[in-house]
Amino acid sequence: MVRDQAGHIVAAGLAKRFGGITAVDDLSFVAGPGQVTGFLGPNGAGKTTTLRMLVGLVTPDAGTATVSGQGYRALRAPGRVVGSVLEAGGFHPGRSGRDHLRVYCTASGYPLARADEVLEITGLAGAGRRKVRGYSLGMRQRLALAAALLGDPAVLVLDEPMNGLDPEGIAWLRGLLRDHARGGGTVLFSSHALLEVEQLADQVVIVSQGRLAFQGTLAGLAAGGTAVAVRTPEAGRLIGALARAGAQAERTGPDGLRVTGVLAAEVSRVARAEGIDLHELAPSRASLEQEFLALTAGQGESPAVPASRGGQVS
Amino acid sequence: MMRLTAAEFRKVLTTRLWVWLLLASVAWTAGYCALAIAFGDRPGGLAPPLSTAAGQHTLFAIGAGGAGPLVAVLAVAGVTGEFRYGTAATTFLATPRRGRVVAAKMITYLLAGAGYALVCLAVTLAIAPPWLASRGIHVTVAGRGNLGVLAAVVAATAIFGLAGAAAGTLVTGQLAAVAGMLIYLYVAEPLASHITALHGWTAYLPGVAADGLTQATQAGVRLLPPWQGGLVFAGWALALAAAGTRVTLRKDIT
Repeated sequence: MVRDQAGHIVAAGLAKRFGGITAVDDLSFVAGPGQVTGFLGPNGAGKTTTLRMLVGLVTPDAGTATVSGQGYRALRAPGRVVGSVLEAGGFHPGRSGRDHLRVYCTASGYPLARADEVLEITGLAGAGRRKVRGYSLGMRQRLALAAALLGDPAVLVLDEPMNGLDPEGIAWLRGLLRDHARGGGTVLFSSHALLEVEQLADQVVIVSQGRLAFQGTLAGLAAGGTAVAVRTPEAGRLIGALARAGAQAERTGPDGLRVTGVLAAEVSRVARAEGIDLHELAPSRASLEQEFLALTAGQGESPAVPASRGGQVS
Repeated sequence: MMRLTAAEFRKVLTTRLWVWLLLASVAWTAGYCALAIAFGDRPGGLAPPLSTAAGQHTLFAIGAGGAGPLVAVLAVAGVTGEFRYGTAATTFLATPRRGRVVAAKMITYLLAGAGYALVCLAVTLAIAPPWLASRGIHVTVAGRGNLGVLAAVVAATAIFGLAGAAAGTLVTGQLAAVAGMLIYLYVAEPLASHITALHGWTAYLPGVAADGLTQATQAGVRLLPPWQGGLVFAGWALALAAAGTRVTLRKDIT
């Protein structure tokens, strides 16, 4: 039922090969309305190809991608349903940002004044009449977003939208995307940076070597790992109590512990039973990062990614 | 379709290339007319005397007709620019039915070609009749088959626009497409068409067929009659358009 799928992005068994290289392999996931979904993976994991398949720019070898129950190319007014910001979003350097937007207003049948509205929304009102040649990378990202917003779509698909934005711009974009989801919209954005996704996404889809590695919440991902970060003034006593409960704890500082073998809830129960104060109790960030690296091990171009967990080097 | 064609016109008009190429077309037209009238009109010259109908036809056809290849450059640069600058993605996001986008581009450059031709013909008519009148040669625009030549120039230049747009969808590398087209039209084809032994088939090459349509007579080149040249040239353009559309529909925009 199309009605039930309104605002849903559904990828089902997507696959794409370029020459002899498999870019995406049997990838399925869902991004729903009211949520920001982070599409996370190392560079070269197939994120861009997947997003381009979602919006009909790349034809999948197998599988289907639908938005609100329809393939992108079948949408009657695609710009009113989906807004897309694609990596390296293209502009003619000799055309002004405003003219760029007006071209697509004309093509989609929107009033030309809509161009000025989205320039306002994206903070480019003052630069609209300047040629794109003179835009910074951050301004180009804003212009690409402005183009995506022209049709006031409920679904936003963004490929590495934070690239090139300064910290203020990132905070602004984060707010805009969060508000969009809070208002019932669907946001799917890709990133290779865990931190970016952590700060914004309600759920994550992690890809590695073109395959789905994980879909769920980041808390769920961290729970899949075994480490919990604890801060307590009675670290020595807690180590002993945890040992009796079957967990291992090691010191990370005078009052810091890294606990493995039990979930955070169990640490809290043990501490309360012993009357030990806890000043901090959280799934360890180090653990989240380790899980992410483990999921994507051996992939990507960054030598900083350790191939420690038997990942294949492609 | 109207919307898409209007959007394509907006693309052309919001960058500068069309201005430069129109100025170049006008400069060529004015320059050719001036040189042909001032120095070319001698017995035994390359073109027929300007007192004859054939001479006047050639003046119109080669002068204003010079806009044709420049319109083709405008079209090929415009279409390949979408790939060079990556705007093709935004274009196909707004209109996923790519066949309609390609058709709109072809209509746009067809009309742009007609527009260039009309401007260049106006320049020709501003220069040639008064100048020739001062030498006692009276050009009647509506007479001696001149109107037919003017219409043929408009048609040929328009088809050049269509063919250029089509070529751009086939060869999407901008530099390769523009350079290839200029080399073909200004070097390869003129060389081939002057080789008498090849006259059997050079008349059917696109640019020579276009000269047939307008009867841009040059010594030593065999041309088809206008209607045949027109059909052959339009056939080339449509064949390129069909092939280019097919390629564009299947292309992955990465």
